[in-house]
Amino acid sequence: MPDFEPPTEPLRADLLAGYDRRAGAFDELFATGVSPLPHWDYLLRGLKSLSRRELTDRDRETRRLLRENGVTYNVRDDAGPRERLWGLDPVPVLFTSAEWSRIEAGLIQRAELLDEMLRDLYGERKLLKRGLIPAELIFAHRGYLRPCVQLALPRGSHMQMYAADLVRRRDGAMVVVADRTQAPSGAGYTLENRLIASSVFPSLYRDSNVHRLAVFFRAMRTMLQDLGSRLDDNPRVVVLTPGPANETYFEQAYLANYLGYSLAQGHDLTVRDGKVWLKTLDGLKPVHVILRRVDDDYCDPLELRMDSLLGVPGLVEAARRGQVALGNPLGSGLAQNAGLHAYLPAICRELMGQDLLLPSADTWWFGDPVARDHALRKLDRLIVKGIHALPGLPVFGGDLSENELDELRRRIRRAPHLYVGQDHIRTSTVPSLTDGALRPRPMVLRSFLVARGESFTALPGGLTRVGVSRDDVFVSNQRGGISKDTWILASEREQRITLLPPATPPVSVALSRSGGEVPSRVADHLFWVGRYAERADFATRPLREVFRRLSEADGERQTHLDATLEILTHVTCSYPGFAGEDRAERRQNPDAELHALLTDRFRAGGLAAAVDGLMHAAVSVRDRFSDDGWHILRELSDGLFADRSTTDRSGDDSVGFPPSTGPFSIPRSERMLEQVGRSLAAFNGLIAEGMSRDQGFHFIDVGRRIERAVGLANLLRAAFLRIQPFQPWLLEFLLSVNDSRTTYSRRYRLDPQAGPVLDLTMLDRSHPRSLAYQLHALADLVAVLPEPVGGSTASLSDIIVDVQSRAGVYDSDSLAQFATDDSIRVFLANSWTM
Amino acid sequence: MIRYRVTHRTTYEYELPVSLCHNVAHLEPRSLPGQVCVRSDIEVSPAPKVRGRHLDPFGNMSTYFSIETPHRVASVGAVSEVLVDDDPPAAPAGPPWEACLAGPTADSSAAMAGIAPPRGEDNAFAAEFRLESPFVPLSDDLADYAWQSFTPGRPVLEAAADLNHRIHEEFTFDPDFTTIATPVMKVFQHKRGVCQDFAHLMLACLRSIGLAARYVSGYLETDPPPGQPRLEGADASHAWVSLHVPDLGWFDFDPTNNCRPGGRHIVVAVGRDYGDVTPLKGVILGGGRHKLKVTVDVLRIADDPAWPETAI
Repeated sequence: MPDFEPPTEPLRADLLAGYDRRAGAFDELFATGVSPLPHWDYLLRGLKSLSRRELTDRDRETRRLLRENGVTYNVRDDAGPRERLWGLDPVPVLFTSAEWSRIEAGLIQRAELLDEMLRDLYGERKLLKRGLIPAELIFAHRGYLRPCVQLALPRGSHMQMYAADLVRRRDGAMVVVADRTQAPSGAGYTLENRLIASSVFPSLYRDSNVHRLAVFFRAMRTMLQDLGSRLDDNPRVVVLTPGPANETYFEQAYLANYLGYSLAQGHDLTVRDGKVWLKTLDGLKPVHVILRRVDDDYCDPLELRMDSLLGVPGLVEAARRGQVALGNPLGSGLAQNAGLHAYLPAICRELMGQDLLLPSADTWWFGDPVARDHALRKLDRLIVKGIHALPGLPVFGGDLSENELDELRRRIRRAPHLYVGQDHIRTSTVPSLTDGALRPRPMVLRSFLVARGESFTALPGGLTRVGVSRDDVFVSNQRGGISKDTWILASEREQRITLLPPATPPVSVALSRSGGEVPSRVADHLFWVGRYAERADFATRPLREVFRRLSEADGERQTHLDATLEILTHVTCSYPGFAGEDRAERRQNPDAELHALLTDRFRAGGLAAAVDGLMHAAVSVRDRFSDDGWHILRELSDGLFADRSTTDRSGDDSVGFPPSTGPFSIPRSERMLEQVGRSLAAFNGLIAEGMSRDQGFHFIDVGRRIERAVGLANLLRAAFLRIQPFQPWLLEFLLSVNDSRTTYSRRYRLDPQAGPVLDLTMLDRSHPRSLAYQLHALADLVAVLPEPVGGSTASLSDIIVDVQSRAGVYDSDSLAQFATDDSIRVFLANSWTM
Repeated sequence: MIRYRVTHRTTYEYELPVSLCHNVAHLEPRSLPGQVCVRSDIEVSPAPKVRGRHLDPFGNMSTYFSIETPHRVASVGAVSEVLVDDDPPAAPAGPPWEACLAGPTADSSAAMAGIAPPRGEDNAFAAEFRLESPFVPLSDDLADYAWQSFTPGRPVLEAAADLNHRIHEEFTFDPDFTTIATPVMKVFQHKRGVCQDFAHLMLACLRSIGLAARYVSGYLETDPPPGQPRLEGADASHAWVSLHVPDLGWFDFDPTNNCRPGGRHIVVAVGRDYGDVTPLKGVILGGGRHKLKVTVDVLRIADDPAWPETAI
């Protein structure tokens, strides 16, 4: 379906009716005039052809896609770190390619300049010797890493990735308010924004001739390969992440997956023999290039921050020896120094013999007495920042009371060299979709560049972020801002030339049949993915049986219900539950206990706890799952913890697990369980059919087999307690809980009998739900697991063989006899540990 | 010139085996005005898998090594031979201390009055030592303490010698009171510490009033020549400070011994504070608890000595 049709009725006149621009400010749609700029025509016509309702639907569709793709970022506030859904307004910001060319030229010059500046500051230091940069500004900056001084870098390149935050001044000029040279984030979100915006407005996107993003990511991959080409023809690249609690972990995992590199945390790497290695199940694998998303001072506790737990001891030395290349190199954070803005024009003339094309917002460094006097006088019109991140900053002087301003002045005077004042720019506004209409919101554009050869290439467009209200001074995710896709519209001439897909010559690639290496930490998480997925599955079915009986409990069925509840407690190990001392009371009023098992993630043994565990294990190895896999997991937790997929909860986009509140009802619980069961089946199916049989898969499977065997053992023990006197319904129950009903009725075509049921549950090696099958599968898995260094997996095999041989002495008849022997029941009842 | 042989041995004994350790040492003495390092060997046991040397940004020799075989004992022995000028040049009294407050951060009347010297290259790099550093905080209390010596117009080296003297008089040498992690302000309050503490304290005083001063890590002669006193800190690494005077250079002060180093002090490394020049630091994998033993020997030797067979 096209996203808009040629209008059959008059275009909506009210789309811009309430577009209350800030007086005198620049607006992206109108500039400073009264009619929209021509390059917005096509988009506006499209939007005007949609009703308010339709526009709201597009907005809702955007949120649905974001949720399905699991696009999140982490915020930190008083409540600690939390995951939030990424915010995207599907209406893009538009730039003409003529204007973008000018911006791009400025960005490229600036990137080259900062690279050159870093080379000087870590090398010859002529900028300091000649007084073009005050020495204190460098020496006091946390990003100046002394161990990296004079450290030789591949191709002498000090910065391969650069991002700049741009705003448009009142006069229409774009200026930089912040340089990002440490480990720029946002390119991955930009790509995700593009995917979603272009699928929410497909024909609008298609017909607008938008410059594509793929070229940027290809350049990024080429750059990383080049960095390591000195060390290996096919260099191994890893993405170094601080881990799942980091603000942009989603993006780090997403990029690793998209670019095809392993995502590694510091302790997945080790330095030996002066080189960097990835710890994998198959031993140490050399790492030649690190795409660094850990701040550089945290990268090596030996030579940088001693208290860092995120780094790799010896990494600086490995870089010094030229045995590993980092992108960006260690020390690059120095160029983020906010005080440098004041000196860049002079630095540009000195280093490049050129005028700075893309200026910074006017900046005063308080370390300079003249600048300080000037800036302190107009503090109420400045944004005050630290030269590096400092508590309580940045702050807009205009938001402060007289007392607060005095306090700020005192703070600055105590250590003036740590602060800068930056002109507060009333940034341009952009049409932002709000309640089905457009409203002006302030915007900041983050643009991205990657090194290519001796220069840089820019991502066409970038990540636009808009403020929550028209007069916001600061625009950031942490402050609740949302993002937009940024479209650079090709001129007709360019469309003919550049938008044709380039003919790609076939590339000779060494064939690889393994799924890449599996870091040991990843194997551990995958093992738990398998265990928790199976545990959730094993909790779901007895719960469903319980709910089925709840709605029809009377007389005889009440005894069945009691038994079912008790078995539920045993199977899920959620003691005391329905097996403890006050069991009679709880069985009479089971709602609270059942509700907790369903939705309380802190209730050990419950379904919610198992799904929570699954999500935590999975998020730590997020790059291992396809988008579909992630989608299913997201659905699973959504289905369990709230009815999010059906209702629009636009006010609260928290993705985490809310406490188990909300009404408890049997039909609602049954629906939840049904959905959870389906999601788990889909997830398991995707793993079974979608993952290659590498060691990662084996670890998931080991986890699953162990958990299922344990679950079965618990189920059988609990059932034995109740099997005497002979109760046909209990055998039915056993079959249902173990998902074996269909198999049983196809094989026997009669009511359940103890012997056949036990045979199917325990001994039948061809039935994937039998105990024998799990043991058999485990034996096969152990045989293909890698041998630990200096050890062996033989002891594991011994255990499995031992259990197999013990189970093998029974046939179905003796099992039935055994199971119905009352002394066994008494023994089990007495020996049950709680 | 006096010829010294310095032997610095460090031994770690671990409760559990260590499978991997990475280390950085600042154990090779520098050559600088008044001192020449003739030779320096660092021996490590078990044999390191990787060794590397490079000059750090302060001009010190930094040595990296990794031990990659399991071990319970690791020892590092550094043997160096150093020629030291026994007749240090007579120190001038220097310009009024206010004239040394160069740089835009110096919130001073001197800069306003135009008596601050022009910012030359040397002065630009001295700026690094005027700033706060991890072991050297700036504080108003310390500035007040320093100003008692740095009275208006007083020659800078005379004032510094007075501060050096006051720290020696008012503070007690007490090896049991502090560790390397003890903050300077606690040393200031309790008036106790060891040479590192006094060096950091004096640096904090000097920097708090806007002067540039650096930390010096080194050694003292162990057995004094006849008739001279044995100095505090002689059996371990020693530390003192060096004050920068624009156009004149660096001048050392040893607040632990109330003296101007010369002849009996051997410089290993200089930096902003102890953290830049830690003699030996490392990150280990495994090990559990450990015992540390450090010995230092500084001997005057003949002009053409036999080199010892082994340092460990």
